[in-house]
Amino acid sequence: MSPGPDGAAHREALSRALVEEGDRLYALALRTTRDPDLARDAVQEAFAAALAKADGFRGDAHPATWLHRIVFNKSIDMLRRRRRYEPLPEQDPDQLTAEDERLAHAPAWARGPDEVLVGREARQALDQAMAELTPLQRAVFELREAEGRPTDEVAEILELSPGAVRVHLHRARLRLRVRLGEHFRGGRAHVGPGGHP
Amino acid sequence: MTCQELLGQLAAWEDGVLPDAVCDELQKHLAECAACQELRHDLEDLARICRGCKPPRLPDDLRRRLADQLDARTR
Repeated sequence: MSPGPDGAAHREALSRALVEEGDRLYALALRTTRDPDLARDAVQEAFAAALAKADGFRGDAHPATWLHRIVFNKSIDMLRRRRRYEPLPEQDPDQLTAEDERLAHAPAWARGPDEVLVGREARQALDQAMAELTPLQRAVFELREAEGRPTDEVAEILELSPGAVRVHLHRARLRLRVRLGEHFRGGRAHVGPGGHP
Repeated sequence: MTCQELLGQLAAWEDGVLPDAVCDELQKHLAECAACQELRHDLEDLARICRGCKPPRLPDDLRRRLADQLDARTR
């Protein structure tokens, strides 16, 4: 049976999203799961699910936004399926807590020589510190901080309110600041524009 | 505005969704509070480190497989 006009247009949109957004879809899955194998599976299952729904797609959301949402949900499914011990999105409070306030009082990053810990070491430290975040916090951080997407778009992808996105972003930043502060202790990394010395 | 109130509003401030009066209070607090200035400074550097990270690429074999699946459904 040949695809209907809506289905054909949707498949074309999916092909375009693969070309234009493939790296970012994989980045979201990798950031959320922190496991390349799970990330691959999540992206593959997301495209399979998107294809299966292609004929029923009526364009309620931008295809790329819709795909990001499916990739995130598949990533969470993967973590559940593998029974990884990770707090799931519903366990993340969307209000600031006393713990957040405590984290905010962590010592500021050490002010040391400018040449300390720039570039690769700082990025590796950030990657390791991401393990301290929940999958939802990692997804928010990836979409908002790394990719610079507007809060409203992140909210649409993750099916959260904009306020909840801001809370999760703030919590992620505070946790990363603490972990990187431990890494930088003894010398502050000088970071120039674009993260380069 | 207290430090705790500033914390709760920081991301909304960056998004430009706060009323002018709250923005004024926030900026006044920031100008006077060394701890909040340091926090903000650290968060700005965190963002720069993050933007300096090389984004991961979709593995080529997976990209090809997905493209093949899409082609097969289109034919």
